[in-house]
Amino acid sequence: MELLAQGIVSGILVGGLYALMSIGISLSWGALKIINLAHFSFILLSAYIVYQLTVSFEVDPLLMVLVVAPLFFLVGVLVQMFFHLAKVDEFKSLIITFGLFIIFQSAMQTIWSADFRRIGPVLNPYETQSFFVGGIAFQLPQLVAFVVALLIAGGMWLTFTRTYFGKAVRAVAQDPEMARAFGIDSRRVAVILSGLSTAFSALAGVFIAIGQTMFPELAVAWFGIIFPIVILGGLGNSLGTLTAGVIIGVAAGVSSVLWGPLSAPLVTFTILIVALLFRPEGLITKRSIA
Amino acid sequence: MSGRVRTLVGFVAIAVILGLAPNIQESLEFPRFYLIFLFTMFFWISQASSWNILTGYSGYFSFGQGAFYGVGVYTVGVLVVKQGWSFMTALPVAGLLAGLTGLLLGLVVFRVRRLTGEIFALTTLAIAFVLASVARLSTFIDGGTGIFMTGTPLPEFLGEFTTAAYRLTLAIALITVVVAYLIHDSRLGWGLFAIRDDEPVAEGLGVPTFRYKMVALGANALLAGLMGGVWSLQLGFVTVDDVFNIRVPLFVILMSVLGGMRHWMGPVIGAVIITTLTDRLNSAGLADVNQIIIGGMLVVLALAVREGVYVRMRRRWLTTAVTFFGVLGLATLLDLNDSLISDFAYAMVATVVVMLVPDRVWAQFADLFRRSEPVEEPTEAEDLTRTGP
Amino acid sequence: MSILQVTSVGKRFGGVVAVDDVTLQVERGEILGLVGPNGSGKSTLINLLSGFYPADKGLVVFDGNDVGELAAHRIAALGIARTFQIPRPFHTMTPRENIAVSYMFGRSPHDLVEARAAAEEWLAFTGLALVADVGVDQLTLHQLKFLELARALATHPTLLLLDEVLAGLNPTEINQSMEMIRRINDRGITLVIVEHVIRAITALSNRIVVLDQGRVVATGEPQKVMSDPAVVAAYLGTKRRDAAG
Repeated sequence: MELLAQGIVSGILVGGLYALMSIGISLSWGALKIINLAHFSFILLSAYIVYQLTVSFEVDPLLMVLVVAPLFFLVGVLVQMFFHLAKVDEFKSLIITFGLFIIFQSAMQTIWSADFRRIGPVLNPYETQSFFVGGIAFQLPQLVAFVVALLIAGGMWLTFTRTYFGKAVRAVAQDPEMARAFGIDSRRVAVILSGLSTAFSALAGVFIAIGQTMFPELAVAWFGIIFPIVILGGLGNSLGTLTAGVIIGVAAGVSSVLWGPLSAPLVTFTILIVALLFRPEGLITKRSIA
Repeated sequence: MSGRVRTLVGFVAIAVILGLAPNIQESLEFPRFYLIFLFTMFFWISQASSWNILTGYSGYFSFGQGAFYGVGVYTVGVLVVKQGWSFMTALPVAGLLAGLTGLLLGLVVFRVRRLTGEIFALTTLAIAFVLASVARLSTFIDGGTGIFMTGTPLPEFLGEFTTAAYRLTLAIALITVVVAYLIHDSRLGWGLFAIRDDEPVAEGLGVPTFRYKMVALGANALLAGLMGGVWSLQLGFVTVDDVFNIRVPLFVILMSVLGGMRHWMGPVIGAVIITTLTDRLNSAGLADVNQIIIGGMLVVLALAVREGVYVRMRRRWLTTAVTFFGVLGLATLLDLNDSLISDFAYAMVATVVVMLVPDRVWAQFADLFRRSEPVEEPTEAEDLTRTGP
Repeated sequence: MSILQVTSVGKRFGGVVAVDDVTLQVERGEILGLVGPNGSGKSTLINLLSGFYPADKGLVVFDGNDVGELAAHRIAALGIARTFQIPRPFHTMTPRENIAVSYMFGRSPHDLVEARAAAEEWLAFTGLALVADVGVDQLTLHQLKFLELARALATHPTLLLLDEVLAGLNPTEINQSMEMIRRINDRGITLVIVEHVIRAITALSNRIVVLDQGRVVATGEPQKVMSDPAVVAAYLGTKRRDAAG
C-alpha cells in the first residue's frame, strides 16, 4: 500500500516534469501551428549541455539554468525565423522537424556516445535528496521540477489571459491575417513564443540532468509519454498540459509499481486511446490558448 | 485500358527477369553480394510503397511503418520459432495481424472529428513504442531475450536460403508495387486524392472517407507486415530494439519524399536511390554519419523538392536518360572503383542533383538548348501532405 | 410532399448558439432564398443540412428520409449537394478532374473512364471547357465559383445548397451567375440559396426565409418579406438598439 502511495506521489511530481517537457510542443503546435518534433532533442541536448558544463567546470548544475534557458530561447527564435522564411506549414513542419530530430540525435550520439551519463553525487547533490512526509519520499529534483512547472503553467495562463502579449498570441493563433490587420506584429509574437517554448524545454532538460541518467535513446522513449500529454492537455493550454502531465505521470508511476516500468508506455497509450474513443468529437473543444 | 495491360505485362516481365537473377548470378559467377543488395532494395521498395499508399495518397501522415513491420516480424518469429509453425503458414498470418493492427488504430483515430490528421500522425508515432513495450514485457512474444531465426526451414521449391529469401522479397515487393499501381488510377485512388486535398469537401461530394481511409491504412499495414515476416529471416536474431527503432519509419519517409508521394513510382525510385547511396556510404566506412546525412536530406528535400524527383524525371526525361547513362558509362569506362554498384551510385547522384534544379531555372536552360517546347510550370501545390480539416 | 422538411433544428458550438430553433420547408422545384444578418446561422444551417456536422436537436427529413444521423457522403448519395462560400476546389487536380471525381462518387458510383467523359457536360454547362485542364490556381474567382457549381452538379443532386455564391463578384459576373442558377433550376433541381446580395435573391427566389440570431423571423414572397418590419429590424436594428449602440 505504501508502495502504491509512493508511486502516486512520485507520479504527481514526475508529472510536473513531464508537463514541463510537453509545454514547449504544446505551445508551438497550438499557437504557431508547428508540430516541432525537435523539442525532444532540445530537452535532451540541454540535459547533455548541463551535464558537460557541470562536469567540465565543476559548477552547480542548477546554475546552468542561466546558461541553457537564454541559449535555447535563441535557438527557438532562429528556428521560427527559419520556418517563416521557408513558409513551412503544419505538415511540412512534421517532416522537417523529424529530420532535425534525427540530425540532433546523431550529433548527440557522436559527441557523447551511447553510454549512460550521470552527473554524479559530488557535483549534483540534488539527485539523492528527498523530503519525507509520513514515510513517503518527495524526491528533490522532481519536487523542484513540479514547482517550476506549476509556476510556468500558471504564469503562461496569466500571460495569455491578462497581458497584451498573451492576447496577441491568441489572436495570431486564431487568425494571423486578422491579427496583422489589427496591428499585431505576428512575426515578432511567433518568434518570441517559439523562443519561450524552447526555453521551457531547455529548463526541463536541466531537471533531467539533475534527476536521472542520460543516454541518447531517452529522447525517443519520451515520445510515448509527451504526446499523450500534449493531446490530452489541449494544444497551447498550459494548465491543461499540467493536469494531463500529472494524470499521465500518476498512471505511469502506478503501473510501474503494479506491473513494472516497461508497462508505462502501454498504460499511457491506453489512456490516450480511451480518451479518443470517448470524446470522438475531439479533445480540444475550445481551441483556445490559455 | 491498353495502358493498364501494357504496364501489367511490364510487371510480369520484370518479375521474370528479376526472378531469374539468382540463376544468372550463379552461372555468370557474380558475387553473392549483388543478390543481397537487390533484395535489400526490394525490402525498401515494398516498405516505401506500402507507406505511400496511406500517406502519399490520402495525406494521412503515418509514423507507424515500424509498428506494422514489427508486428509482421514478431508474428513469424513467435509462430515459427516458438510455436513450430511452418514459415509459409505463418507468413500470411503475419500480414493479417499487421493489417488488423492498422485497422484497430484507424477505428479509434479516424472517428475523431477535429485534428484527425495530426492526432493520427502522433498516435502512429506512439504506437511503435507501445508495441515494443508489449513485446518486451510478454515472454510469449519476446520477453527481452530476442528470437533466433537462423535455421528456419523454408519450402524446397524456393531453393537454398539466399535464393529463397531473394525470391520471397521480390514476390512481396512486386505485390506491393502492383497494389500501389492498381489503386493509383482507380476510384479508390481518386477518392484518396480527394481526401488528401480536402476531406470534408470530398465527403460532401459522396466519397466514403472513413471506409477509404481504412482500406488505405489496412493495405499499408498488411503489406508492411508481410514484408516484415519475410525480413525476419534476413535479420537472423530478432530483438525489440532492432525491430521497433526509428530506422524503418525514417527511411520510408525519406524515400517517398525523395521520389515523390503523388505517384506510385515515386517511392520505388526513392528506395532504389537511397538503398544504393546508403550501401555505398556504409562500404566507405561512413555508417555513423549516415543518420545525420539522412536527417539532413529529409530537411532539404522537404523544402526544395515539393513533388519528388520522379515527376521531374518524367518531365525532363531526355535529360534524365542522358545524365544517368552518360555518367554510368563514364564511371564504368574510367573504372573509378571495382563495384558496379558504385558506378550506378554516381549516375543516380548526378541525376538527382540535376533534378534538384528548380523548374524556373530549368525553364531558362531549356529555352536555350531545345526547340521551343513550352515548359510548364508545375501546377500542383506545394503540400507534401494534407492539412487538417 | 416538400422535398426538405426541417423541424426545430438547433446547433451550438460551446457557449455559442448558432442555430436556435429553425423550422422550415422547401418545396420541390422551388428556389428558396435564405437571408439574414451576419451571425444569423445561415451557413451553419447549410452545414447541418449537408451533413457537415450533426444537429444537436431537431429533425431533418429529405425526400422522406431522416438524414439527421447520416454521414455526409450518404446524404450526397441521397441527392443533396452544396457549394462553399469560399471555393474549395481540389487543388492538386485540374477542373476536369475535380468534376470527374465528383461524378465518380455523388449519387451513384461511376468509373474513371465514364467520369472523365461525363465531366465534359458540366464543363460546357458552366463555360469552363477552355480551362478544363489547367491548374485550379490559374482560375479567377468567378471561374472557381462556377467550378464549385459544376462539381456539385456532377453529383446529380435533387437539392442544391448554395452558400453565398455571389460574394466577391462584380455586377456582370453576378448576372451571369444568376442566369446559371436559373438554368440549373430549369433542370428540375431545387435550390436553397444563402445570399447577401438582396437584389439577386429577391429576383431569383420563389420564397424567402429570413433568419436572425438562429431563428426564423419571416417566410414568404420576396417583396412581402423584405418589407416586413421585423425583417428590417433584424438587419438594421431597432431604434432602441441603435441608440444604445
